[in-house]
Amino acid sequence: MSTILKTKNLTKIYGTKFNTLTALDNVNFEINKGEFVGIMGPSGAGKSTLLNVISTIDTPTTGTIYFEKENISQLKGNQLSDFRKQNLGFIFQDFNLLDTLTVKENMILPLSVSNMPYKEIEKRVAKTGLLLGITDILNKYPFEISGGQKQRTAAGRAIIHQPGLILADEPTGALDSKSATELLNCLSDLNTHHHATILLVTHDPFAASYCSRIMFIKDGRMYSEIYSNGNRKSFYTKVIEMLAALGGGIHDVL
Amino acid sequence: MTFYSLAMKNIKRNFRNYSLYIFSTTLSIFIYYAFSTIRYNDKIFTVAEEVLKFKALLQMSNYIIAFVVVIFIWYANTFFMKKRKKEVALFSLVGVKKTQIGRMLLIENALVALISLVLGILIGIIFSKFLIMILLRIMLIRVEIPFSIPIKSVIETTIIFAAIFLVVSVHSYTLVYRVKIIDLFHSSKKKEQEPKTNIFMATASIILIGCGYYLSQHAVNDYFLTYALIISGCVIIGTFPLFSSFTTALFKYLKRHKKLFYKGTNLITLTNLTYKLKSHARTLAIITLLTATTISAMGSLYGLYVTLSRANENEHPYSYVFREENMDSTDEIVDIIEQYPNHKILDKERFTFLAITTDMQSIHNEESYFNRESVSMAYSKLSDYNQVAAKQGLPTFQHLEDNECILVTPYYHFDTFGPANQNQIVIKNAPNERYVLKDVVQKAFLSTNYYPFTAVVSDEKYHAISLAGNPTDTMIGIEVKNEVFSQSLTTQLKDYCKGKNISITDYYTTIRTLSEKKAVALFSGFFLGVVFLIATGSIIYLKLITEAYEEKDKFIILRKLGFSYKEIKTIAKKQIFIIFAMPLIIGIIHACFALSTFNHMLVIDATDAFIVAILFFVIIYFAYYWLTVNYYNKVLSKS
Repeated sequence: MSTILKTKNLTKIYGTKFNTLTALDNVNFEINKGEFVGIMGPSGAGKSTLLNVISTIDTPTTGTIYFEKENISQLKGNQLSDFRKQNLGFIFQDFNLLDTLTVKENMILPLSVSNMPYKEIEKRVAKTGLLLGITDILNKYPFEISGGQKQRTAAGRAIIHQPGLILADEPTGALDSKSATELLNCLSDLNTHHHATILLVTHDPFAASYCSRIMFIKDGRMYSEIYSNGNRKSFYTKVIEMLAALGGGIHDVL
Repeated sequence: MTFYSLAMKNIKRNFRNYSLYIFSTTLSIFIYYAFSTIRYNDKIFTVAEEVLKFKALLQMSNYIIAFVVVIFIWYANTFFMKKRKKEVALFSLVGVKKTQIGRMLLIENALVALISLVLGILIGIIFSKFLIMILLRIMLIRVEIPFSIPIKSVIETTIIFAAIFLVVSVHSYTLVYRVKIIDLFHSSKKKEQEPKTNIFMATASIILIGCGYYLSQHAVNDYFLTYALIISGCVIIGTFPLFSSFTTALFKYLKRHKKLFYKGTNLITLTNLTYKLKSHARTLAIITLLTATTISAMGSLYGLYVTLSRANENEHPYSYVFREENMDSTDEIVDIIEQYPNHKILDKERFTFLAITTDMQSIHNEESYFNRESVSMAYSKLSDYNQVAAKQGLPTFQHLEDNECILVTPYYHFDTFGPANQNQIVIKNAPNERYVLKDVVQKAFLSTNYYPFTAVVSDEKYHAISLAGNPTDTMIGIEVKNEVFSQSLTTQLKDYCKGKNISITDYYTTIRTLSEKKAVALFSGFFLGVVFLIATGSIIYLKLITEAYEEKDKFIILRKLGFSYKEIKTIAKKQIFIIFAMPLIIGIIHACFALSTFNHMLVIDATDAFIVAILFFVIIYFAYYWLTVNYYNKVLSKS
């Protein structure tokens, strides 16, 4: 299997000379194509920083990130936004849908800027809508639909341009358990049947249990890593145990 | 920390917002003050002849300025309050009493008022002399006006604007009581629902405006006033749904064109605009109408000024025209003029005319153009005419048939009379003496004060008519240098002629009375235009910048999705451009129709003047656009 993302000695230090905070400390990991990877860790462990750095929203202090062998920490300005547009898909906790656009319009946003022919756009919308079960609400506005539908719309927007990597930042954070399960099933389905590579940052052990591998970070360092054997229930238990061992994560679980 | 220092800090912190506001109010105060200075300046009125009308016009202008300023300040204040709702709610939350918050806002308003008033009047004091000089210059008056600070103007300006500020402050004071703390937590999280299309209203707006435009091209008739009323009614009523319904329908139609809609940033720009135009419909319509009014007013006043000056030149080719039985006094008159080295004689011509009562008719039916009342026309011979024409750069004619003539008059309107050769003139006492117009020269021969129409016939014919015993008339035309400023010479010549019983007409007096009227109209028209322009520009600016913060979230989302900063800036710029351009373009179209009616009505061509007015408007308007875009970029770069 080929590597899609690889980090080398990734370090991020915030603050001034005399008052520094090391958010990431020599983080090294690899993600292969088609993996569904979770990142967990207590608050302040550096999860968001890691995600921001990977998604090129933030730059690392030292270290490099390779995306399909390309060093993306060297990219600048327009190259960066082009890279993000083409290769990454984002799902956020608070959906980040534009209220003025319909579900469909929100979904095709990444396509429209790449000047794709409209017929191809229509095809992709139909396909993605079917995949996520939002075909019926394509012409509705975000305020007319439920949180779960909103997040599925956001997921649609994240995958419609077939990016190499989907970054999901606490996607179930604002959802009730039923909607959360629906969304996770969708993501899992995308992963197994459509070979999407997904990087999921979450607090929620239930959401994490859908992953094939989970990396734990604490105080900016890689703490440990666990693999799923395919059985979600036992994986879930493993996650809980790991969080307990991690300390600070306890209150997030209960 | 006292409330005063808090208020001071607020102004300092919000200086960017306040600066434009203070600039606009300062400029309005300055113009108000300048007008009032002119009104109270007795020196001008001792030289200007049209005193009463003049004062009334300035007074009127002042009222209009005050009115526009009230609207503008009211608008601006509402925006500031909207923007600071959160701040007010926060103060409430930490337990500051509403009266205290209100007091703080009052202090802020008072400070803004104080700064604008002091600045405005100060600039007024510095520049009013300059403005008066400009006014006198276009009035063609050469008088030194001493520098002065009329206390009356200062007091009047202060009272009027203090009152306006007070009223508006009280209004914003009451707003404090309407702010609820709960707004702090979900202020701008309104549900945005796509505006519904109202096809009926959209069609109605187009039909109404179309009707107005159509009628405007047929308005020059006996029922002009009724037409004007209907036209303005149609256009005004039609403009409002144009923005609230028609644009929505238009954008929805565009959205259906997937090829266009799905391309690049059009998706976001188009949807955003649909919402924005709908929610700003009323403001945009008002701005359109203000734009149309301002451009039409400025254009027509300036056009009138230019055209009348041109016409005047045509009516008075000579500085002085004297008329005496035998013109014995010519030498004495020349002596008088030679006392003035500034006014060298450029040309001196002596003419003899035959004065004959004549009618003008169409050659097909014998209907008189002068409503059956014949006029006294001057008859001149071709050789005399050619001599003058060569000097004045008019067309000369080689030969005239016996039954042909050339009509020399600035009053022949081809629109009304038709082509020259379709008409003839008929001598009243000899109905068989008719001359077909070979051509019309649109200029006065000597002075229209004596004969508005001059008929040029061949030398032989002239001789023949003169034998019929028609009275002759001898005149002398003298052209001098610097005729526009020949006040003292003119006075002396007039006194001389009075004693000698010589009739005199002069260019100077006519141009003076005319220019005074026009100058005042032009002057107040221009500055009123400026005040309107500032008000409209500022209103859109404030509207858009208050939105910049609400838009910010939207742009942050786009940024996260991988849109580059440049693309986001382009989206913002496009939106702002369209919002600025739409009312401007529609306003200009409205104005163009108004101006074409105006041209038609006064049978003049003031197109150049209109273009100047439009350009002037567009340039200043563009400055506001640029300011808004800059502000947006500042906000966006922070995210």
